[in-house]
Amino acid sequence: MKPLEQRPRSSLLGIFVLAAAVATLLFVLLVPKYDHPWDPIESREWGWRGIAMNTFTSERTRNDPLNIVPAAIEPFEPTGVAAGEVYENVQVLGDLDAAQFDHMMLSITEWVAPDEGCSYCHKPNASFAADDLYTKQVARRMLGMVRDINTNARHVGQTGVTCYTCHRGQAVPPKHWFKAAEPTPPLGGIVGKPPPWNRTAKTMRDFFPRRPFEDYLLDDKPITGAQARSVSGEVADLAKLEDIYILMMQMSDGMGVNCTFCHNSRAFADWSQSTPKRINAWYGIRMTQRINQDYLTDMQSLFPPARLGLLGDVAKVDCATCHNGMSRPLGGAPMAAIYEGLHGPDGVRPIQRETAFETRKARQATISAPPPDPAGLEQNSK
Amino acid sequence: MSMLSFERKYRVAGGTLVGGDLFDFWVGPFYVGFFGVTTAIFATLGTALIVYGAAIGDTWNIWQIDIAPPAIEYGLGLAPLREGGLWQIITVCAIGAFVSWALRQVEIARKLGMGFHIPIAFSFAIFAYLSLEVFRPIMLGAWGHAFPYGIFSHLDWVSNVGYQGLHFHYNPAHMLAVTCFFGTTLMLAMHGGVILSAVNPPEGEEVKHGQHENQYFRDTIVYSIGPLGIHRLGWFAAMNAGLWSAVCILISGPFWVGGWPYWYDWYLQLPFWNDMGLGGLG
Repeated sequence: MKPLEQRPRSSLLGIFVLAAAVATLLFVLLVPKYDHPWDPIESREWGWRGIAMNTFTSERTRNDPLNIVPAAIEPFEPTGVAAGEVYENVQVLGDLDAAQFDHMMLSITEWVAPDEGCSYCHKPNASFAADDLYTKQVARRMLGMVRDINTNARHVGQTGVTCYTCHRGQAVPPKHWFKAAEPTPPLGGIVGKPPPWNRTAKTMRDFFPRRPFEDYLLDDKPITGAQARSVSGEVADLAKLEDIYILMMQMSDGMGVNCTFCHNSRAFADWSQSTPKRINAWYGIRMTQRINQDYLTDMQSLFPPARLGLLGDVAKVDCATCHNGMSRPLGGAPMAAIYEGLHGPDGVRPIQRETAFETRKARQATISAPPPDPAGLEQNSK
Repeated sequence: MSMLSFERKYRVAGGTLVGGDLFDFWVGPFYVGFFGVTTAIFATLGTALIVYGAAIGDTWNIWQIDIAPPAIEYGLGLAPLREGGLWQIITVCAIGAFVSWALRQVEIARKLGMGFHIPIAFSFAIFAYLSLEVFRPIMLGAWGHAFPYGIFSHLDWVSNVGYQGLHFHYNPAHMLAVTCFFGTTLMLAMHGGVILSAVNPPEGEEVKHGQHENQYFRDTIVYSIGPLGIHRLGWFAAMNAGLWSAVCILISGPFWVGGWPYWYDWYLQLPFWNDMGLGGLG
């Protein structure tokens, strides 16, 4: 090595390292997306002040065009004649005023098939009463589903849902999911998805397996046991923990919130430290199961193969289908209010599953012999 | 406290930034100075207000005492004393005490004719505190985003802020900060280890010095950074730990409201993946 004073003052290595650092910094600043405090960031607080149970929105998360509430079609003057007397083969909305029925039909077209129009469900140059298009048969079942949800599902509250809550002006709701194959070739790939998922994935969530959705949004498996502290003495199952995490990430992403919307993260399982939103989310999971089981899977045979997933299953809903990145779908716009046809007594059915509140009361009453625990309340009861 | 025989030599006048000779004296072993006085005032007032906050609060349980910032609805305004106002005054006291302490370090360094490396290093810790309690809340538009003063409550805050980003370990600045924290403690442990091992030889061996220390690291990891270099490196890593932990919280919320795992979606969204003719991973 040369003596110090003979060595050059500038080192090629130094220049290279500096240039690499500057290039890295520029890349990190310019390539990824960022939010900005001058957006502005809007925050809401869900827990006790100071403990950071807050959710945020920014321009990036607020500007989805799918979340713009469409202009409502003005209601028509009632005719005083029931739709069932004016039209043939009206199975669900027969008692509705004929004018309200027309209004309903026009609105459904705008919500679901604005480009295709009436002919999406009614064959052109044929009787409107004919049931020969599968889309009409599906639409009838869907109408019954909406009436069922608006009448029975506590999750939707007074706001209710319309076709637009899911469909957003598209024949197939933009957010839906299919079953994935077992993670073995050729169909499955390495995460249960066929090629070329690895170069079409647009978000990290595309890399997650779908098993959790099948377990928790289609089947009714208990979403408990994620924490080792569980008083039942059961040891947390890491595979199950990952499944629950994936389900919860779907929920957070679908609603544009984070874990603290419902949970105090120090005690995820503890209902007494959770926000009331968690109770509504619990109902939401049950509602999603019912939609997926009682309606979508139930009419799987109606759909043509092109509408089905790779495993031949019908498209199913998750939280994002309605919420589309907002904690209240479409900002809580009361779109369903003016449609009598979306609230129907024929949709009323006895509530078969326990509600979270009732489960909890029952748990406290019969603490000596607790029944099976669908809501994960057991951890909190002792 | 008695003074060591040589200590008087270093108790020289001057070097003050504010106050001239007025506070240029010692109380026992402690140099006072103008900023020693302000440190004492701010620290005493702040501590007394914390005790007052505990007294008007729900509990004397040391773990559960909680002096929380105002609710987010108050924005960047002043809040009533019991609804976060106390937190606001205590925060002012804390900043006053920390900054006074740093300036007292500057005065002592000037007095002794030394560099400002210690106050510079301490100022990174102050910067991290200010980022958490002042800069980030201002960028998010509410004091309510700052952490509360309470043992359990501030741990709740830490946990919840982590989960606001769904998985905080994906925060790239957090990664750098953690690396620097562990790095600087590793360096301190290795440096302390080599010094202690050099001056504690086995029975019958002589005490070793610098070149033995250098040779130890040349033998183990090819290179010894040297007796001055290790302090430079440790100082640099420690300050970067503070700097990047400040950056990691400043970007969480103000510059990224989503989950940190999703920040990396930029990689999947690069425009050229689909044009590269890659096969699927069948």
